[in-house]
Amino acid sequence: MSQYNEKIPIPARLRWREIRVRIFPFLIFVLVAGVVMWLWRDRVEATTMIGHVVGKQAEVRSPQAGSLADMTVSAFDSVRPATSSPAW
Amino acid sequence: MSDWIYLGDVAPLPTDFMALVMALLLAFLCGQVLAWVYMYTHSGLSYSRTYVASLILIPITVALVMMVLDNNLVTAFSLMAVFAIVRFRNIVRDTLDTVYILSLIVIGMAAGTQKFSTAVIGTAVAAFVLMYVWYTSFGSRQRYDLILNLHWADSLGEISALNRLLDRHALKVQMASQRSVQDEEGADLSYRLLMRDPSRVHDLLNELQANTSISRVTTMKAEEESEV
Repeated sequence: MSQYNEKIPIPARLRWREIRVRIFPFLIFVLVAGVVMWLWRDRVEATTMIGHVVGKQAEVRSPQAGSLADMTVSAFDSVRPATSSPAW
Repeated sequence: MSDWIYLGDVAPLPTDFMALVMALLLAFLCGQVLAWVYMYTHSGLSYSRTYVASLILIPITVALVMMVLDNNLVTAFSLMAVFAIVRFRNIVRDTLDTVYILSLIVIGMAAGTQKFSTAVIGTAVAAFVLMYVWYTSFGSRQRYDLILNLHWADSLGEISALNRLLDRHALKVQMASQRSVQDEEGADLSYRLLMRDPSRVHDLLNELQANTSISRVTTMKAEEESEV
């Protein structure tokens, strides 16, 4: 009769299924929660101040129609107004 | 992350990729918490495993929608038109199927609004969660795999012998019903068992039949019934 008190062994296939179905979701949950906590500390910042930025504006116009050639300046170069008026 | 993923979104407004990943993972966590609550509190006959799986996927899809919309009113209006495709002359019966379609619509929107990296990251997270749901059979509440009916002829005070025998064979034993007749000893009992080894049901039956207090033994296999 004592043999009837021993528990039936659980096959490895079923034991792995129990781990996959019952334990795996908790493991993934904890892992993802850790990643989210890390990202939260790194990335989440509440807005404490609202600023307003206005860039410098300049109006460039020509009194005559035509195409500009032989440009000697590149983008974002500083330029100053010429000292003498060009002979149009 | 390499440059191609950083430079992949060429839409006018830049994307914060870490915020995108965090939003999708947080949506996954919150969805999973509510799915667990649903699993453990749901009662009734309408339980569906794919519905529980969709409870995880829907927050991820919605988070992706909001990231793709990006405060853009034009995209928001076009989204409503695109969502009409889901029901266009087509009734999708399974909730998870609907979630697949919604996810693909949003990924398509991300690609169409030139948020290429968002489309890639959204697809990766959605694919990971769908594989996770499949691999873990998420939503399955398989509480028993065998229904056992029998007649116990002795007094119910002696039933511990039967309980020991059932504990030997089953991980979980749940008595589903007990029917007693007045002025008669014993009872008709019905158990739900989660077997330790489902291939050894015949051993359980042999041991039950060897007990003189037990008669009229019937069993029925019940593998994940009603949990589609």
